[in-house]
Amino acid sequence: MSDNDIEVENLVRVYGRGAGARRAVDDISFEVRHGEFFGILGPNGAGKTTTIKVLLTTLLPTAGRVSILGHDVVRDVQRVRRRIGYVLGGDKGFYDRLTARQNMIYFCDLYEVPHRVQRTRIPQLLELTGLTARAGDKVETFSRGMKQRLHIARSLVHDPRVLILDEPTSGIDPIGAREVRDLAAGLIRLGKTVLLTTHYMQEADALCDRLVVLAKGRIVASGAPRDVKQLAGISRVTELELTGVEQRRLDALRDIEGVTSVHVDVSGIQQIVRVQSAADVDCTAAIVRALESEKVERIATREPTLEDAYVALISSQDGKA
Amino acid sequence: MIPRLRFLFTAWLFHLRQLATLKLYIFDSVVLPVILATIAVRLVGARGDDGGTITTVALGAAVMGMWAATLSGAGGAISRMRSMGLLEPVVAAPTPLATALAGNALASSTLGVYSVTATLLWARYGLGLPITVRSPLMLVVATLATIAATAALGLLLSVSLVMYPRAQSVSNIFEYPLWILTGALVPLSLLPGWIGVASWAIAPAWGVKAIQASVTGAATDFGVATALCVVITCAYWALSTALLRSVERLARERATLPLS
Ligand SMILES: Nc1ncnc2c1ncn2[C@@H]1O[C@H](COP(=O)(O)OP(=O)(O)OP(=O)(O)O)[C@@H](O)[C@H]1O
Ligand SMILES: [Mg+2]
Repeated sequence: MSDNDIEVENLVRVYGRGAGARRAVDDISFEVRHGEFFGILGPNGAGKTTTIKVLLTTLLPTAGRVSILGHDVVRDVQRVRRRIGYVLGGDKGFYDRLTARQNMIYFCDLYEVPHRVQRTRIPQLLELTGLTARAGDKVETFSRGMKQRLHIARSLVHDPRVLILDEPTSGIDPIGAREVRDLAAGLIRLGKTVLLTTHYMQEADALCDRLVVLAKGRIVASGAPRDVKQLAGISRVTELELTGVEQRRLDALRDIEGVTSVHVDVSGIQQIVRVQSAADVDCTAAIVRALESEKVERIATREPTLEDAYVALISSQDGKA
Repeated sequence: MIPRLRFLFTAWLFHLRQLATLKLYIFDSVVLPVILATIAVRLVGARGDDGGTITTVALGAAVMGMWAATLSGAGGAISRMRSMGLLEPVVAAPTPLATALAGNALASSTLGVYSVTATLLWARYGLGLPITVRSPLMLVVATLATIAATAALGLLLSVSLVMYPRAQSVSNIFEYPLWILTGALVPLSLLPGWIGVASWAIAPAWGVKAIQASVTGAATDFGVATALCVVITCAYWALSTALLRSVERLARERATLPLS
């Protein structure tokens, strides 16, 4: 067997049929090595959850091959289910009128963990996730962050080697999110392989050994976080508000030295133009010169956000296509 | 096998605990049957019937309570599991979905037993009626068979609930016809023939007949009714499990089954 714990080859997942069919995941391939912390980074609707559900066996792939620890997710469903743990974001997924400990028992029995093992494992996992003091409290009284840690605890009841986390910090306050991130980072030290999806660039940056950036169902960048940022190649964003400028003149902005991408949003007669450029060049003056005699209502330069990185990656992808 | 039975027990126990905290559900399975029993017994009592008829009527009311508990329970159990976000985790686990659902259905019909017991005790001690049961042992057996039958029917209904989230309203529509079909509300002999025929395929209807036979002490009737109840119940279980497997497959293929 190879040392890849997860292998995804040319995965395609289509929702619906005929004219209404929609490719949520469009021919993606990646592999996750044993002991690696791997990320899938992407905006809303990119296809992250769809990919995850194929790995969890709750969705069948339309095409392609996916295996976990050498077991095919279509042919070896039961083996896959016994060997992976997963956390789907959100504050549901428990008997909320029951206590944290009771919910742990439920999931232990669901995964056929022997009682003898449960007696030591449940306290261990509650301790690991910092929930020992609240183990006897009803889950409905928990904060979102605590519920998320309980999700992680319950995902480990059968001691899986591979752990899959779908947006584990979304909707959680910054302190709670940091606790979840610390917990996720600690899983690697326990010898687990972790696959995480997120739409936070910093989160991927802090946690992942390697990652893929997914947009509209396709991988637009992959590698170590450092490589991906370099690939995005942006570090400065200039935003302009214009009215009635001809497309030809906007296109001309792309030719300015240092500019990596130009993105135009039109609302009514107003145009919002986002120009991304390399860190070491200040393009503001050149932009103003290029738009000479046009009506510039506002111009501002700021640090790039994650959204900017996507825009850069996606528009460069569109350029290639 | 053993781990699966243990999970069945856990699912039953935890679901029962969760249900016990829901006020509306408690009203359905605890308060409603007692009200129904009071009305039914008063209606019959006014006609000055003998103790046997009164007991049969009280039992009928009790079984109606059981129906209410099971149908709103089995129906509600799935939608509750879905809304609690537990449906997908159970599908993604190695244990079959049917086992978890069976635990839930059994929990609902177990609350139904409470309603049978409460109604009888209420009729006996609250209303001071001469409740007579010829064979208490037969009553226990018949009640257990009825619990299993009701749970199995609940499970079968729940299959349609997994497929169609709106099937809850279907299960509510079912509640009243089933009272009639089981002969719980009105003796079947008073109804058109075709209803009696339809009730043949309903396992709990045989359970109710077995319960009634235990009251009158008719051993042969009891034996036949219990046997048919058990056989049809097994058929329900088999059918439900098979259907659930293909439903799960469809859900994974078409993603039309909203697991979450
Ligand atoms: N069951 C479904 N039926 C039809 N389309 C679906 C279904 N589930 C998801 N989609 C569509 O597939 C695309 C990818 O969705 P997916 O949930 O995988 O994205 P995501 O990256 O997880 O997004 P988010 O960050 O919002 O969670 C979206 O356009 C979505 O609308
Ligand atoms: Mg998602």
